[in-house]
Amino acid sequence: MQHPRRLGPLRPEALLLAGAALLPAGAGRADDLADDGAPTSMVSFFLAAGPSCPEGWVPAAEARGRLVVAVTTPVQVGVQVGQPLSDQEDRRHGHAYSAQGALPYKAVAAADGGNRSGAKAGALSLEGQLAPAASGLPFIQLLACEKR
Amino acid sequence: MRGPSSLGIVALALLGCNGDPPAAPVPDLAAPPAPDLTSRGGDAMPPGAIAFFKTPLCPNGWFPYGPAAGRALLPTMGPGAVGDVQGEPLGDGEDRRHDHKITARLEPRSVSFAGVAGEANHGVASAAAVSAVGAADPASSGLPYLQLLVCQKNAAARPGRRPLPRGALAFFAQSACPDGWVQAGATQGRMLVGLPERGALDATFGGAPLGPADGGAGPERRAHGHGASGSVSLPGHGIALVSGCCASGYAGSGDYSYSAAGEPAAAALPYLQLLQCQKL
Repeated sequence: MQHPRRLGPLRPEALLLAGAALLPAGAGRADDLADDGAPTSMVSFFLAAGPSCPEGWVPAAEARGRLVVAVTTPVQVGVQVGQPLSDQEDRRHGHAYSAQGALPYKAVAAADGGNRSGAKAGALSLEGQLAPAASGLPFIQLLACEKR
Repeated sequence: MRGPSSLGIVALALLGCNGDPPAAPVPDLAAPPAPDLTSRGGDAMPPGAIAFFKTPLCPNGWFPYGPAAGRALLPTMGPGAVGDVQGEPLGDGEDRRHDHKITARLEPRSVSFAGVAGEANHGVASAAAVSAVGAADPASSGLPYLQLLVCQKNAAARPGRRPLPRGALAFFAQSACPDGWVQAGATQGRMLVGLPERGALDATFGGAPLGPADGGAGPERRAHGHGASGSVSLPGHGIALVSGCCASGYAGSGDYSYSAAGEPAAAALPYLQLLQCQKL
């Protein structure tokens, strides 16, 4: 099983970021006049907004090819799980399986002997791999940007 | 293992997003505080907005949104299903696994012997079709994700020098979008994925959007199944008869192919449905 990956910038030094987040959006910035008022470090998806992030935003690189799972515990922010999806990739997965059944007997009026063309009655055990399949969930891939 | 610095972050979190000491026991995150519209939150997002942050603590005027913790956020189809939850929240970095019930069917070919069917040798199998049941090993659906802080705004908006960018998306735990926002269309009922490198912008893929269940019995619970085929070798049981007429209907020994199926099951990605609004 793959271990989740934690992003470097969100380790203890992220306290500095936290402090910055307590300031009003754009506080102390030279480009206040151009600021759209979105809070710093907000990560937003954009729909039908073009291929580039708006002025004052940068691509949220960590979100590329990934869903976002919400957390409310500070140390969990930035953790990545799994390998990113490629363009419109409907990720597939498989399973190993095993199944059990029984081959019922059919009586025959004969003693045991040398003709082994008939299958032995008794337990039946099957095992193998299920064919890979997608989750069935629907997706949309959107530009994700972070407010600076 | 959490280090002392991490504990410091937690301690700060317990102080509250504004850095104020807690005046009461830790609040129940399932019941977000009532909006304080007299407070100026310092940003232009509308009150009630629910958004992600790449920072350990919520900005001034925002609070952690507990009902979403450990879940993906799914835009509702239309106004319905706001607040619907599916599955149990993920743990930190958890790659949730799921399994399937297995059914398989084997149809033996028939052989016969130059003898009489009847008692009392029970060593040879019948040629009747056989079913087998079992379970698939638990496995992840392989959906990759990024954990981000989720916060809800509960202060008044303070407009910036410029308007918020057009096309920006935000969630709301309410039935209608605020002024200047409209429910996003293409995202309804779809999981949001960050645009991959060189990916097609706003492209939809995977299954059909999630909406009400057939018959209107609540929200749909999407499931998937698996097919399979396999082979098995059945050992023989020797008897003292030659092959021929007329004791028939016995299963032949040797190699067989069979079909199997993993019955439909959910991918086990827990989510919360919220209204998603797009900035005009």
